Amino acid sequence: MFRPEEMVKIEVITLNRYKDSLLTYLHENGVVEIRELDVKSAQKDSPNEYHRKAASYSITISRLVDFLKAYRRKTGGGIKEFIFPPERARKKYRYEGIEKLIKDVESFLAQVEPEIKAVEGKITSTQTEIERIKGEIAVLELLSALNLDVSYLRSTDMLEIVVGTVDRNKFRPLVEEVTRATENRAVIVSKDFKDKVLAVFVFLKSDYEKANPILAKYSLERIEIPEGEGTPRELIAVYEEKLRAKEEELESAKKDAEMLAEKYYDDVVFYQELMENERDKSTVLPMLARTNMTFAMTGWLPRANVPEVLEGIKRVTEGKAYINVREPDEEELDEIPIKLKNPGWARPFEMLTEMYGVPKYDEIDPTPIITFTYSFFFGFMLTDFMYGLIIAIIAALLVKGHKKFNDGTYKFSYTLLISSFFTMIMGAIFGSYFGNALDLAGFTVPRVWDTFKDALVVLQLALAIGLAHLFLGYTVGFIVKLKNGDKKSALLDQLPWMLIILGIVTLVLGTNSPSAGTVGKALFGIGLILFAIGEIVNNGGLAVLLIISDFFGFVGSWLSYARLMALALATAGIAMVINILVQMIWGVSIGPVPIGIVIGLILFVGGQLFSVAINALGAFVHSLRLQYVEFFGTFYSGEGKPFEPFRAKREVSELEFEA
Amino acid sequence: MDPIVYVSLGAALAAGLAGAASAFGVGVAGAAAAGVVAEDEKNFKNALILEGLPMTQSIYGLITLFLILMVSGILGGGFKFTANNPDNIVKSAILLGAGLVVGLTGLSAIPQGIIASAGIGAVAKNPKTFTQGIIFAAMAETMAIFGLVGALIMIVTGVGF
Repeated sequence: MFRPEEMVKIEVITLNRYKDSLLTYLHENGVVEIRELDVKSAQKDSPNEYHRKAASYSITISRLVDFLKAYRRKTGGGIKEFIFPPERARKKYRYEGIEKLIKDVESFLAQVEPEIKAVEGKITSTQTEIERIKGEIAVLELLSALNLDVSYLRSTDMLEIVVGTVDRNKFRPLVEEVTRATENRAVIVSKDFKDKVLAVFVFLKSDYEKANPILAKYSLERIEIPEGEGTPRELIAVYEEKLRAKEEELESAKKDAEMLAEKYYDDVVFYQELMENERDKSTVLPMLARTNMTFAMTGWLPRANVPEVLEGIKRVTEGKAYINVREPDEEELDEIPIKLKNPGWARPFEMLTEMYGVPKYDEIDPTPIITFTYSFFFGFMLTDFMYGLIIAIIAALLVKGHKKFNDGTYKFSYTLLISSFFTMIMGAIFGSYFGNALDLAGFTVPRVWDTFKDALVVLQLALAIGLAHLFLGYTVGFIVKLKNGDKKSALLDQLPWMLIILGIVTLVLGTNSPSAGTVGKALFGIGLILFAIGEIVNNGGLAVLLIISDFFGFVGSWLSYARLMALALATAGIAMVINILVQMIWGVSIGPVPIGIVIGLILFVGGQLFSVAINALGAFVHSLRLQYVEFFGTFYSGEGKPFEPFRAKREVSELEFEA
Repeated sequence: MDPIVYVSLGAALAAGLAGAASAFGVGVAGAAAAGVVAEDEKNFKNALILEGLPMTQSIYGLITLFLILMVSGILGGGFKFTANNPDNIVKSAILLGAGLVVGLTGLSAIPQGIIASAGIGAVAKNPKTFTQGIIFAAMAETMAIFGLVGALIMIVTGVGF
């Protein structure tokens, strides 16, 4: 707690023939972050042909997955699935080197790919066919205006026949020009069709050369005459019959696809995961240094995992390896990856710290502090027992359903669950149950303060909490900087504010005693002087301006905690507005029907749910902001590098492997 | 002026100005939201939450309206400041001031909408920036919160329940 996990550096040199198994061991174990190794006398390693194949097969397989996914039968879904997602079964694979794995994938693909591709091709071609038939039916519908046997519309040995549409205003000049060019040896049949004209041109073969450019010039859109005999009406019936047949074909192809999905989906996803992990494994190769016989790698790992990893490497390399584990150097301080280490109750809150940025290696990990302060502020801003209860129930369900996945939903619901306890406590203190609903209904609600009548008390509380929060931040910063040997910054950046805050507190608490007043003023004064000295040391001439702006920056940060009061009142206010509206409508009745109660209940439930949602969003955002902007501003950089271990992603597969 | 004029002006300006500003803010963000949903429907949830952020100012305005109506007795009972004496005029003028503070600081909904709309665009490109986008938009709300705090102090200390 408060410190990130201790890290050590590991260096390994071993024979090339153990490379694949060593990397596989580290990848499955997932506790070492591999870093680039720069050795001048050795060359960089690079992926071999099998790694390249893995990358290409992972693309091939992901195409198959996409296709099958579309035809997978839907299972469950809905709200139950969301709260309690089922765990996916993991299939075992016995790993005996990448060559064997690639062979296995190739034989799997050889069996499955043609089957899937055949169905996929069938579906695509049938769909194209259906589109084509639909297009021809549309053409026939157009031609049906002519009521001619379509075989007359096809060119013969002697005649060239062109059917097409042209803009109506272009039709007349087109006819004139064609007639002139062919010296009257053209027959033209036309039919008006919306703002176009459907026209049939009949020329002698010999005249076609002359007429064609003219048709193009007037941008005649040619129509391909569909195959078949008979009038368009008769042909449409034939084509619709064809269409039905094709649609049935499509349906049966889709059924085949569904069966394939049922049969192969899990396998395909399994092999996809295997291939993607191989591809990811090969991405570290360029970070290794190699000679003809040996290779070397370096990386970081948590101290707690050292014995296990040493044991593993020895086993994998049959003891033929040089391993060096050492403490980080002073100059490597910024290089060390940061893995947060917290007890179970605070671990989900690491999400909030990570979102801002993890601490540097010599900084404090603020997660345990914000576990408490974030939840408390959330509760203070929501301040309603029933709202807390609603959130607690939803969050508890989600925590139960997602715990086994340890995913984002679990972490977020856990933070909500803790926050909702504070919400209920604050709600009970302020006697707020759906706002003032119980008061309006005529009950006497026990409460320490009333949100509205004691608004000033709430404001004082909010500012006092703010001062305490800021003091905590400056003190933590003071201790951390002192420990890291940065005395100047501890004394000039952190201490002044601690003294100023202490001064303010003594002044406020001791308004009636003159001695406390003197002490308070003294503390405040010393703090202010130290602060001014700090500004001058840090900024030189600019200090004159910065003293003013930084001091009021502090005041602004402090007053920013007034939002605790404002949001608490906003919750009570929205709830009150809803309650008053419900109360107004409650007594309304049409004749003997108490319509007001019905509408009132709907309004109450809907309104209060809206109020929970909007106020919980506000509480989340502003509680987080107080941590990130005001609190972290006092001591925290969040500029550490997060720990990214070399780790396989295993959702549906499990690797059984022995070195 | 009669006290009723101050009181109703205060209530109207608080809810009216803040509400209009919220409408502008939500409008700006909503236009961006419609765009990114067209790109990918998965953006809907994130975009909706960001679009809703500039709405809070209108809620602050509404709360202030109700508080003004309550302390002046218009809601529940009867109007307390009917007599046109200096004491009543002072109290009702304070209510006008409180309403005006919330209404004017509620204008922060417009820039908040602009920030939210940029946030929506960013979330569409990289969903991980969602929380950061919310925090950026929340910065603009600080002024409205200060306005509400100020107004509450004016109402509670100047008039009282």
